[in-house]
Amino acid sequence: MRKPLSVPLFLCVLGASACAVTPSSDPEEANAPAPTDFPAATNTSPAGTAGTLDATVTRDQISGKFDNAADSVTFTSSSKGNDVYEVTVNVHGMTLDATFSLADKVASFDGFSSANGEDTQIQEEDRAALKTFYQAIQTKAGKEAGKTADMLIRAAGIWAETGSSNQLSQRVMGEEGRGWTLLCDRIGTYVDGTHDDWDYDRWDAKSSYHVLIGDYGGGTTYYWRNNAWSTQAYNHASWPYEYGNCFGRCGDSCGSGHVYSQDCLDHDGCVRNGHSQASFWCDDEFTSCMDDFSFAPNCY
Amino acid sequence: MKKTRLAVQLSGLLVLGLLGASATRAESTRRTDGEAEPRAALAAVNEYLAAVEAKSCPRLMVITSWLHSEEACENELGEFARHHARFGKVAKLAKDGRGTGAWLATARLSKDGREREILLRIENRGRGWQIQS
Repeated sequence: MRKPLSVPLFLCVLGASACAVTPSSDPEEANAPAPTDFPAATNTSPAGTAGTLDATVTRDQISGKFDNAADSVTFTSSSKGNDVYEVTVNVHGMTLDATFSLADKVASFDGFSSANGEDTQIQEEDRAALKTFYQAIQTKAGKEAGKTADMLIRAAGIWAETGSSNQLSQRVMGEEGRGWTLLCDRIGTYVDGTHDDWDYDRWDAKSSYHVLIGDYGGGTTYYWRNNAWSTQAYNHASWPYEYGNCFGRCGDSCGSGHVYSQDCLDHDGCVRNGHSQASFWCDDEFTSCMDDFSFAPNCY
Repeated sequence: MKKTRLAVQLSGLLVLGLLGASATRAESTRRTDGEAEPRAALAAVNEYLAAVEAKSCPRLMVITSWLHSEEACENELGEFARHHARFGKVAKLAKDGRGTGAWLATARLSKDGREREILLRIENRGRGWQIQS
């Protein structure tokens, strides 16, 4: 259930400690949106997708095929016992596979040519197909998805956001508290996100932003410019206010899962402030998200 | 059973072994073409790394498929400067296993004081060998 909005927002706008925001005296800081500028909550369900999803679900496995005009994706997710799950997705002649050990919080990912097992790379058309499949499987599974479907959704979500420069063979280890910081109790409030680069340290004004996290803004990201919400992205502005497209959620856009975490917020901040998802400038933020997305529980 | 990379490769090796003998005779005639392609791909990726190091927009606009203007190139070089990013050597070059005709180079990239490996795609789409991503 979404938290009440008005009080935390009001506190945040005043820069109160409840939001852990240190008000910046930087003259370039964007004027804060007033409480009356607070956006309305929007549809929390994934965007509708055109295509046919056929799935066979048993107690320990979900498998099937997704077809639309452009692409065909086959998938299997199965429980191997002891909280181990294996996920395989095939798209455009590429096999993506992942094994999750939830008890140990360890996962391995791989991707290769289905024909010969040789290395390959996720490209823009693969990401597009995987995003469509990701939306479709979320819609199909819904909020009450079983664990095999949940792990399929998480793996598909990770692959749908994998940049072209990322190696497909990855090992992920997670540890709550150190590996990820959940933002469940901050949904509906502004949370600070940041990144570092050579010009700016973490939490410097021009590498940080106030983000209203949660299921807001539909599929669009909004930036507070000249006392109004705009769709024009910033590029290293000073503490801009931003929201929309389920900012802070692990996974592309909005969807059925609701893992909101600091690392996913920082990755969203990177790809929505001057960088594309395919760019290798956000690769390390993406890598930091993988354990959150693999293992962190849904907020609701 | 899950079709892992190893399983796919082992089944491929079996087929290759069966075909091997008959292909041996034709191999020597194909070798020249087979070596020219990776050489051209490696030359392209080395030119990209050198052009980044030299901060040369004229060279980058030729060797990449996405930098079509001075402004885009300056932005890209600004990004390299902001992240204090520098490429190391190419660690690996392999043909894209999906038969797209592209080559994938694994290069070391130092960024914000941390080193990692990234994939670069090299492809000839009729305008010579270029870095595609």
